Amino acid sequence: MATATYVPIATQTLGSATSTITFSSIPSGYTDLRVVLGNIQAASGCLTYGRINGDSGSNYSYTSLYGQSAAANATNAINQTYLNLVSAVGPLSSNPSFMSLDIFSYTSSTYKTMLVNWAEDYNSGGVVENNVQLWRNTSAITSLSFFNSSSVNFLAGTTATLWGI
Amino acid sequence: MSLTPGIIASSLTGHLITNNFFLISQQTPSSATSITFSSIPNTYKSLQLRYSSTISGSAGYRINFNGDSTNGHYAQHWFYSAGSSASAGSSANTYTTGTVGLGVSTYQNVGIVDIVDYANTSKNKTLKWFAGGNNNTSGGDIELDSGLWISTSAINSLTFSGGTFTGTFSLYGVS
Repeated sequence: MATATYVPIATQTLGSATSTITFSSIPSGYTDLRVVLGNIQAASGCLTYGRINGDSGSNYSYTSLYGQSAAANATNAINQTYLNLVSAVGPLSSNPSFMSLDIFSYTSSTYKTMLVNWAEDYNSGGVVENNVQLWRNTSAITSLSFFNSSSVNFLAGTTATLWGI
Repeated sequence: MSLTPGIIASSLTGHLITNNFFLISQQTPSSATSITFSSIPNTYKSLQLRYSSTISGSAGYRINFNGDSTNGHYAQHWFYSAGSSASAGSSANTYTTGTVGLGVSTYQNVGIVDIVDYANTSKNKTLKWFAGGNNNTSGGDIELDSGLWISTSAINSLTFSGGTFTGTFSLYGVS
């Protein structure tokens, strides 16, 4: 019989404004990880970033494909110090955003590649974005953190779930 | 419960398990030119294939179903970027379906392929493919693709081809 998987490892809903969402002590028993940030709201316009295993070195890069209002766009960056999860417009305080982050072979001894889907709409514009992220490190992933640019807090009600697949 | 930095991820327990996503088979090829999942059971609503793999000699990641490589039996659309501009396109009446990007060299390419209603015998089969790769250069490969297999047969096997693969390929059933 096939093995059941896709297991919520940890889930939380912010009770108050918080600068950083962190998952630590991530177990190694899965093939992939998935992080879902839901109802993402922040006090002012910002971008949302991430880090792996606390690494703030220039070890991240991404390639992005996104639609903003009526235009299709693409961008990329290398040697970043964080995961750049959304390229154009990040979360706002008025309408919630949604993000999923799929992390493949997170315990392998290869560099880690990830896929991100971001969606937001504020009834006069919005962004839908797909991007691929690279973390140039061969260590197993044991912690993940998410934060906004300019030290903007996530607002209460933002949800964060870590899944093991 | 409010969120605090440093959640101990392993501290939560089993009542959250949903049990509707099942690992059917996993392969970890090394320098394989094709990867086949065969004898796929017809008991799920949809399939999801997830992979993390290097590729060389690439024509891109290709998928054929049930061993069918007949010209005219496949079609695809894509929304794609290699780093600096977005493009979209399509092709019809082809031998296979797959990614338009060739994938990056050196590092892992990753993808999620969703195949809905794969066991239905009264309609053609559609897939959604989300794929990407990044080499820490100004290029890369990020794309969202659709694929069509023009057949009403239930899918019972699936074959990857297009390059030489080393990595992990996992097939899941979703009930």
